Amino acid sequence: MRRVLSIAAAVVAPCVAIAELGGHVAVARGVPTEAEWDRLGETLSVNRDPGDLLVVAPRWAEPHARRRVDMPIAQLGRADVSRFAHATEIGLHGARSEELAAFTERSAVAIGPFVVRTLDNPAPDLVVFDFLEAFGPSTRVSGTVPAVRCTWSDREPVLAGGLGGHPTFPSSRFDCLGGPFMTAALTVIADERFLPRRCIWAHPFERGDKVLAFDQVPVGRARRVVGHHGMYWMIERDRTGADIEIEARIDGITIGKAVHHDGDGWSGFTFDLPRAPPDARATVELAVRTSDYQHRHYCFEATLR
Amino acid sequence: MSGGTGGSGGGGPTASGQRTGERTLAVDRWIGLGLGAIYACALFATSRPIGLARDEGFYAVAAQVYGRWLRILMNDPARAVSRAVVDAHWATNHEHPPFIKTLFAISFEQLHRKWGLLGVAESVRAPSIVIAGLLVALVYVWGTRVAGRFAGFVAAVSLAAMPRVFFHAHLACFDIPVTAVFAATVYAFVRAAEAPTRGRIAWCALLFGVALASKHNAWFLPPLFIASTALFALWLRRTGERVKAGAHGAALALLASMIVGPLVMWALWPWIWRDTLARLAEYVAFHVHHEFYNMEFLGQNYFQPPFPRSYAPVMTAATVPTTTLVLALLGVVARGRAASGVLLRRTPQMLAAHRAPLVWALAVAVCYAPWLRDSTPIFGGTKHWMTAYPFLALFAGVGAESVRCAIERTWPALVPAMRRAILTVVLAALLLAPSIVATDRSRPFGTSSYVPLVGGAPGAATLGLNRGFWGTQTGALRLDARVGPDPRIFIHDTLGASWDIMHDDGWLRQDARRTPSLAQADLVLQHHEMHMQGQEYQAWVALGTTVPWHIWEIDGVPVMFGFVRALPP
Repeated sequence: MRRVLSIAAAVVAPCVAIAELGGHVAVARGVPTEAEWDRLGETLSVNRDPGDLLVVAPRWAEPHARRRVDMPIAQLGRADVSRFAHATEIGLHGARSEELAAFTERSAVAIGPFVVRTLDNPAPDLVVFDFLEAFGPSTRVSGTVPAVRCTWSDREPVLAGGLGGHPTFPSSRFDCLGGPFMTAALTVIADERFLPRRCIWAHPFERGDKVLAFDQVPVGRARRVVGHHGMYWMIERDRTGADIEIEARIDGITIGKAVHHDGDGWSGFTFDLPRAPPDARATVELAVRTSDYQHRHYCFEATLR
Repeated sequence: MSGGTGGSGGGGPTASGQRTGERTLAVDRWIGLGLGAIYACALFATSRPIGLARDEGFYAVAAQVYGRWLRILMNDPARAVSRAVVDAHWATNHEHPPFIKTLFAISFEQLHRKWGLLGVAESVRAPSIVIAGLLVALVYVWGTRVAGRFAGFVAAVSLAAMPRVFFHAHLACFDIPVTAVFAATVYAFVRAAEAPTRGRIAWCALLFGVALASKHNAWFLPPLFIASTALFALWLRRTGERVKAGAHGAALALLASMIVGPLVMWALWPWIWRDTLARLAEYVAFHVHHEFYNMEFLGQNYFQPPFPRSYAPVMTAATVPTTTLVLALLGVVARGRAASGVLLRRTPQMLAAHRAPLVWALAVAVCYAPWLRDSTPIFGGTKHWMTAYPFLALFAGVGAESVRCAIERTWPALVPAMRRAILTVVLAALLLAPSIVATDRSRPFGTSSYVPLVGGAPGAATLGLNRGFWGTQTGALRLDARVGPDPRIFIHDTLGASWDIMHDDGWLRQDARRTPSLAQADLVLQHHEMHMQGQEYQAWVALGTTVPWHIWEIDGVPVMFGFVRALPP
């Protein structure tokens, strides 16, 4: 027994050392080279449908892919993956994306250290109309108390909060009374997992509603409004702010309301649309309100599905 | 490294081990200092790519202010100690005690301002680097005293080559200095306990005062001394020896430390010369009620209690080379078995041979104990319990010695002198290679490095472990022609003062200027930390691009991005 222990003491640490050195070699050799990333990028730019969702697993490797493949901000800041019928998954050393777990594999090809999978969504919830894409000069943004109209401009100074600060307000945005935080603009926030969420910044006014109105929305081709809302997580994580309510109206008739509570994070809402002829179009109003507007960095996205 | 001063064999104290415990050969002090000098040179040589950390900026500014006070002290002592002058200078960064910053100040005054030998950054970093070298020397000497040269050497290099230790050893911060002073104080305590001469007791008390004046980790020394004294007493009682005779050295050192230590701290800290109690209370309150910063752990961002109790052990396993940890475990087992045997057999006269390892074990426990509470902040990563690492390294040295002895017992043909020398060298190389490789690969992004046990930096990123903090990555910034002239740079988590020092020292392109406005910047830096991801998204919208201009990485894992404004279509 003593001899066995002696042999064990003699070999364990040296074996661990050898294994650890081997681990260093394995880690170093597992790092994709610039050439391998370039080859991946070249392959994908030829073979991939730009409309397909592109996801990198593990997520930390995504910035390398962004340097080689077109990954639009709308995809990077997606609300969820349900709207995509197809996806391309880049898996480094076989890594898989949890986000695409429900998708089915159509094909897989190895490119250097990567496995590129083409995936199909078995139940895509396709977007008929995206309020983010429609947001712009034709949108009407107003306040109800007092009654004010926000004005669109393409020449506002870009404002970004910097370290720990608010999301960026781009130069193209609605200028509303009450200072820059009262603006309405397309931006990207960090959610409770610090993932990017592209959304319409709609900080509520002190009193009344902030109303975003979209005309000629093809409501007849959709069955419901599907949306998500949240705030830059650093603002809502203390759970001390007032609730924020969003109300959807079709030609002035309320079809649903959803409330965002601090701490909810990036959360979804769904409102059923009233039946309408397939070619029906309507004005959709999205009204945002709160009982206490302090630090209500509210941001939402909405689609018709 | 052939165990020339005798080794315990890891299986228990031997006659040669006792002799080793009685004296340290002068040659070993020189060997230790030589190792320390080599380490300090390596730190100086690798310093520049490690950008000035956030905290270094604060301390460098404080050092310059304290330096002005030191000049007044030299020229007009009466004026220097007046309340107005003291408060005007020492109010700066008074939430931290002064000793290490005073060393920064002296170094800045002499090496930069007077002699112009070093830039500001290197001059304020120099004391930490020298102290890190002295720490390595101390660990070598102590390990050698307890278990022979081979153990001392392995312990010293194991500590020096812990990637996080190597990183922090560069910085003009308190973490490595307080680790060194903490270890030195414990060493002095053990020496006083072994043979309580006035000189040794005085050294222990003085060093405790210096530790108090270095960082609040020193608050854990009295519990360690009390626990050690109690353990010595229990040991002596068990072996039927006179408790009073055997433990009075430790008790005297403890008593002297409690009396002299605070006085030394007071003497070294002009800020508390007046309004002493109120200002001390403010200092204690600052650290007891320290605000919580953010830290990513296993994919979650923690910013308030409860913090995960698994944080300290998991991060230790993920960042300290596994071989070192296994060796330390072997060392604990070897010493534990030997100590248990002594206690079971009630063998007298053996405490001396076991005293140091007992204190090491208690020191490790005391240094990790705060993280048993889920309210202890975790934002500092591994550096907050770094005071435990010299003792882990010492156990690793003992463990290495036990491995060497086990090999010799198992394969006695290796024992003849020449082969033993070869065996010793090969074994040292093998056992230390993983640490040295890990440290080399960690440069310059030490707080982003992880050991292969968790898959290295890629595995850690996948697990959701923090990829760095303090914005030191900016030191790796090299602007090429793709960034136009006079660029305005948003420096993200790098402190403005840190950027200015690096810029003035010539570490950065001289036409580059920092700007607080991300929106107006030509180049936006983004240091990756989970809770700061929002700033990257700000850059996407502000600059109109999601494509990084450059990615700084460790083993493929991004730790800093640069974004430049998209060209108009």
